[in-house]
Amino acid sequence: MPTLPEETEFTSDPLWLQSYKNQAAALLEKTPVPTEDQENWRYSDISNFRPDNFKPASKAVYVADTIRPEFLPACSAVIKLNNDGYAEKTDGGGKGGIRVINLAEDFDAENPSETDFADPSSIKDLVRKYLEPSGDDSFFELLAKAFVKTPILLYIPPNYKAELPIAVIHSLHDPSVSGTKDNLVSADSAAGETYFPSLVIFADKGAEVKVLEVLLSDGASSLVVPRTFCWVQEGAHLAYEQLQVLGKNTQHYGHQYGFVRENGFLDSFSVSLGARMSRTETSSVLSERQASSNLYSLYFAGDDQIKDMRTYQDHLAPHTKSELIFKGAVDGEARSVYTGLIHMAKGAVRSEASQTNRNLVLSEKASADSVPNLSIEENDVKCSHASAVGPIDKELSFYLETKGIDPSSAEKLITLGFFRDLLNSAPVTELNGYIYNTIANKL
Amino acid sequence: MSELQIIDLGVETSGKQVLSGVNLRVKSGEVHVLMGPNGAGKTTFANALFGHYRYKVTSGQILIDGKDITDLSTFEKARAGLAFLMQEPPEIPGVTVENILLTALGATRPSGNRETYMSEKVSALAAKLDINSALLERGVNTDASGGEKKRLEALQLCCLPPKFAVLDELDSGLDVDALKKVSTAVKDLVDAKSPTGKAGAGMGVIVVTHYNRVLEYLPADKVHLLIDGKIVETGDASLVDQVEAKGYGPWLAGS
Repeated sequence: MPTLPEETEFTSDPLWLQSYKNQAAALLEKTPVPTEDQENWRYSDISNFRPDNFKPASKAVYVADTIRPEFLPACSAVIKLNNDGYAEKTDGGGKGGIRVINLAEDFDAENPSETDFADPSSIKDLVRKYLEPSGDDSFFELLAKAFVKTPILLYIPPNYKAELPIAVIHSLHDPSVSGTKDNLVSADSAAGETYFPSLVIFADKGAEVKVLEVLLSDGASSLVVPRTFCWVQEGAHLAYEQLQVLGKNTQHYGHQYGFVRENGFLDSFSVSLGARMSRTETSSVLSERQASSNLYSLYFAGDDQIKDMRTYQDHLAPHTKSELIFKGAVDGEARSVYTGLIHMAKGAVRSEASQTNRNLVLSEKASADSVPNLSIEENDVKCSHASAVGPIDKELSFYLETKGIDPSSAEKLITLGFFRDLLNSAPVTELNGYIYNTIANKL
Repeated sequence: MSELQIIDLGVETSGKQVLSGVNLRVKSGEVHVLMGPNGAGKTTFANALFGHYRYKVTSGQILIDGKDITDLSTFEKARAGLAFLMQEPPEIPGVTVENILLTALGATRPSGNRETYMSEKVSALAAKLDINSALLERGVNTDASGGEKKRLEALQLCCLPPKFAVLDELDSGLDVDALKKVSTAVKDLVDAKSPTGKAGAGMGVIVVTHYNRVLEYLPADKVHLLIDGKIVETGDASLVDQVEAKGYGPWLAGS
C-alpha cells in the first residue's frame, strides 16, 4: 500500500478540506495501485509504478526567469504556481473582474459568500464534486484528493468578457536535481517529487473567457497528478487550453473534467507533448438542455514516450451536442492509446455526438491503438465515431519529393500539416508557433 | 541549353514489363508530346521517370546534361531539374502550397528573405492563373476540383521553374478558359529567354496525353506515339492530326 510521506508543511488546511483529504486517504488505503491486468490500464506502462518511490514536493523555488515562459502570449492575467505553492498572481485589479481563490486558505466550503459569488450553491456543488472523494474515484484521483496542496478556484463573474487569455502556469522544479534541461542529474534518483496541480474554473452565467493552463517541469523523475475542472454556467462560453510540456522523465496522470449547464459551451483543447508516461482522462458532462462541448486534443510521442488518452462524452439532457477530435502521432519507440466513450442517457433526445481519433505512426517500432465506444440509451440521437491508425501515405511523400523535398522534410511537413487544421481552432493560437517548433524538433 | 536524354528505358510494375526500349531526347525550350491509347504505358513512363515506389526501372538510363540520374531518389531528380505534374495530385491536409514551395526553396536557396520572396511570387501567380486565395490558405489540393488542382500545380511549376517538366494529362479537369491560362503559363516557361536575352533557354516539356486539346495552346515540336509500352513512331505536329483522323488503329495493328 502506498505510503507517501506525511505532509508537514501544510497542516493549516481548513477543517472541511482536512476532512476530505482524510476520507480520500482512507479510501486510498483500500484501493490497490493499478496494474496492467486491469482492462482500463492494459495499455499503460504502470508495472513499474511504485508510489513510495515518490516524496512530497519541496517548498516552492522562486526562479524569476521562469515566471513567464518565453512562449507565453499576452494575457489578461497570469497566475503562477511553483511546486503547487502560490507564487504570484496578476489579475488586473480585480474590480468586477476575475477572482483567484486558494480554496485551502480563503474559502468557506459550507457557506460560500453571497457577496463573492452570484450563485453560491453552484460553487458549493463544484467544490464538493471536485474535492470530495467518492467510491468511484480512481487510484490517482484519490491520490490527488488526499494530497492536494493548493486547489485554486478561478472565478469568472457573470457576463465577464475578455479577449486575452488568463494563464495559469504550474512550474514544477525539483531542487535536488541539477544539470541542464536535457541532462539532469538527480541527487536522489530513486525518489522523485510529487505534484498535484489543482485548478477549478467556474465560468459564471454569460461569461466569455479563455483560460490557458500550462504544465511545465524540468526533466526530473517526478510524479505529476493534475486535476482541472471546467464548470460552465448557463450561457457561458469557456475556452480552455492545456499545454502539457512536462520534463522527459515525468510520470503524468491527469484529469480534465467538464461540466456544462444550459446553453453553455466548453471549448476544450489539450496539447500533450511532454512526460515519459502520460495518461489524460478527459470528460465532459452536458447536464442541461443545449449544453455543448468541443473536446480537441493533439498529442505527440517520440523516443519511449507513452500517451494514454481516455475520453468520456456524457449527454444527460435533450439537445446537447459534443464534438471530439483527438489527433496524435507516434515516433521512435513510442506508444499511444486512445479510448473513448460516448454516453447518451435516456431522455437526451435530439442530442448529437461525434468522436474522431486519428493517429500517424511514424516509425516501425512505434505503435498506436484506437478504441472508440458508444453507450446509447436513447433512440432519438445522432452519434458517429471514426478512428484511423496508420503510417504516412506514401503517395503524399512521393508528391512532395517530386517537388524537390527530401523524405525527412516531407515527413515533417505532412506531420505538422496533420496537426495544423486542428491547431488553427485552438483557443490560444499564439502558442501554435511554439507547439509546431516543439514537434518539429522531435521529428 | 540543357538536354534530357532517356535511353532504352524499360519499366516493370507488379511484376509485369510495361515499357521497353523507350528513347527520348528533349532540349531546352522544346515541347514533346507522348501520345497513346489508354493502357499504353504513359502514366507508367511519367511515374517511373521519377522513381515512384510502384515502378521499377529494369533497363536504360535517364540523363540530364550527360549526368546519369537514373538511380537518384525522387527528390534528387527534382533537384537535378525535373518536375512532374501528376495527373491526379494528392490532397495533403494542413500543408499549404507556400509551405511546400518554401521547403523546396530552402533546399536550394538557404539564405535570403525567402518568405517575402515566395509570398509575393505566389500572390502574383495566383492572380495570373485565376486561383482563389482561399485555396492557398488550405492544405494543397484539399477540397479542390480537378481544374483547381491543375492550376495549383502550374503555380508551383512557375514559382520554381525546372529545366524539364513532365505534364501528365495536363488538360484533365480543365475547362477551356482554365486550359488556356494553364497552358499559356507553361508556354511562357518554355519560351523563356536566358538572362542575356538568348532564346532556347526555356523549360523543356514532355506532355503526356491521350487527347490533343492541350496542343492548341502548347504547340508540339515533336510527337511520339506510345503503343503497348514502345514508341512506335516519332514525327512532327502533323502526327497528331493523323491520330485525330484515323485513331490509333493503324499503329495498334502494326504492333
